[in-house]
Amino acid sequence: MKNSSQVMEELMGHSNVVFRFCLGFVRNPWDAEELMQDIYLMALKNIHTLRDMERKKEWLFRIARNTCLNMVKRRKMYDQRLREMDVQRENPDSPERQMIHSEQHLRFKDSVQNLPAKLKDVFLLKEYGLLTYGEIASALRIKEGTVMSRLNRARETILEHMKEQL
Amino acid sequence: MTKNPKDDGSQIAGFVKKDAEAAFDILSEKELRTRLEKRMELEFRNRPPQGLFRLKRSWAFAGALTFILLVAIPLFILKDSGGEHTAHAAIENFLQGTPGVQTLKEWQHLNRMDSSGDSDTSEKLRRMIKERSIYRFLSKYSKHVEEEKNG
Repeated sequence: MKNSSQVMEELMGHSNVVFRFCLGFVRNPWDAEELMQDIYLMALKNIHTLRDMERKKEWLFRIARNTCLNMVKRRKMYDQRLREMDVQRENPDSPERQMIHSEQHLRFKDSVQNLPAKLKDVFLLKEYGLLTYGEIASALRIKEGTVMSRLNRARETILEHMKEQL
Repeated sequence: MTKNPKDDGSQIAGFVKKDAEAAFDILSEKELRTRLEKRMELEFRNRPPQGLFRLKRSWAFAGALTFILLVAIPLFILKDSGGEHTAHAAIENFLQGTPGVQTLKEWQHLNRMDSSGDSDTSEKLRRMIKERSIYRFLSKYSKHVEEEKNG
């Protein structure tokens, strides 16, 4: 039987994909990092609720999803203020920073943010979290077929939204 | 923008890839991991170790239980029934059932008056002594105490 620190160590092996997943929820990497740390702290607090060791990755992503959704709710009203802070924090000289401010990139991020909740969950877990269909189905407790159809709908919706913004 | 799902997928994958690459260029994977580890370490340090916490709680529980069993309950029992085991209480009990004198205090008072030569009270006392009840009781009681002392 593994103790909680060993399990946490294994969960921290997924930190890069968790960071990527958070990146789908927010506009900049700094917020994504903060979210990722919050997710791991939440996981640490709730480690006793992890029953199925074979599905700890799905368990972690369930926590990630809930933490991100809570953050989005909390920060919605401060969104404008956060955008202003992002602009102040970033150095527009570097190419990476120029990229995250490029028009197309912002359109894409906006389209992802505007996805309906069910489509957004599947889309972020697949594209950003790099989870398999099976893992997403297990994390969200839905069928694999549902995952596939929601993913297709999410992609179409994003592209349509981006097109409308042109 | 095309309607083909495969093209949609690759186009989206391209956007996501760019987004992730730009983020990892700004915050490297190593940097992210190091900061996460530091924060987790800090959290672990501030959190009371579960095992030790449980041990502390169990020690506190065991201590309280020992106190209750060895100190509080015996004290309570002694306090509750302690009076009955003293000679004073035993004589008091006995006197309550005898005619003439009801309490030890009264008997002592009469005794004092007897030694001072008061005829009425000494007569009363003498009558009571004739009944030999107190003496009988006291001799029985002293025997009982001695037996208890000798085991």
